[in-house]
Amino acid sequence: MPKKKKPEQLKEETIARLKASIAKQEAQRAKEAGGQNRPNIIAIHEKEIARLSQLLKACESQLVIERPKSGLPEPRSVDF
Amino acid sequence: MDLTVADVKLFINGANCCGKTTFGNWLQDRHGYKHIDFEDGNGNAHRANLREGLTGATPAPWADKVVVTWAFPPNSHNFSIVGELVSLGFAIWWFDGDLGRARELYIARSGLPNTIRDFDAQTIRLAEAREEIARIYAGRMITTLTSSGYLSCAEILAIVST
Repeated sequence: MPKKKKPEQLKEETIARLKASIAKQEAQRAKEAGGQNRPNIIAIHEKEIARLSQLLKACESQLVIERPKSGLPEPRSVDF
Repeated sequence: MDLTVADVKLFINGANCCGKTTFGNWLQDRHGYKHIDFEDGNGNAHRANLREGLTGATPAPWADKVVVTWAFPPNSHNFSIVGELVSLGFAIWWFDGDLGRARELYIARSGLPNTIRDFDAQTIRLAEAREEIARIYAGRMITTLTSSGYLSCAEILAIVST
């Protein structure tokens, strides 16, 4: 069983992944703008760049401290 | 608001903490729908039951009044399951919303480490699949959560009933 990652390690990995994802979205936006120039697709990438940048800012600014769970159902994204 | 609910099959997908499960539960409690939650650990059994209930010799009592909710990692296998439910007659909808507010709600429920592990990772996956999501759910995307709160279930129902 893989060892559970420490929160700080997880945070660093997520920040790196966010930065890579933002760069990817920016590259796709630039490619789209220089190519077929589909405004709706450019808008999708711009929106995602804004969302991911917002998430990056939140992630970078928060200290990762374990806290007790609320007892409410856990929201998840479930694969089959 | 007095709404007449059409007898339909709804498949609700979308971002985390945007009200999918709440809406499914509300339809079940208030409008007699059967709510199937694909996130309860029995997803494959639910799929088999859906196929049997909708295409078997005897349709299930809930066959024309069922809502399925599911947040899924976007990949070809999971998109194929969306296609499978469409072929069974489900109307698909994508719930989305204010990222900052959704994340705050996730942190309140699960704590920050789990939020980074699950919510943030899923947000990145969804961003990377957004073109495909926009194509699949064109005209069927609802902003259910804003910085000031959730749309009411009745408001969402009015949208999906049109």
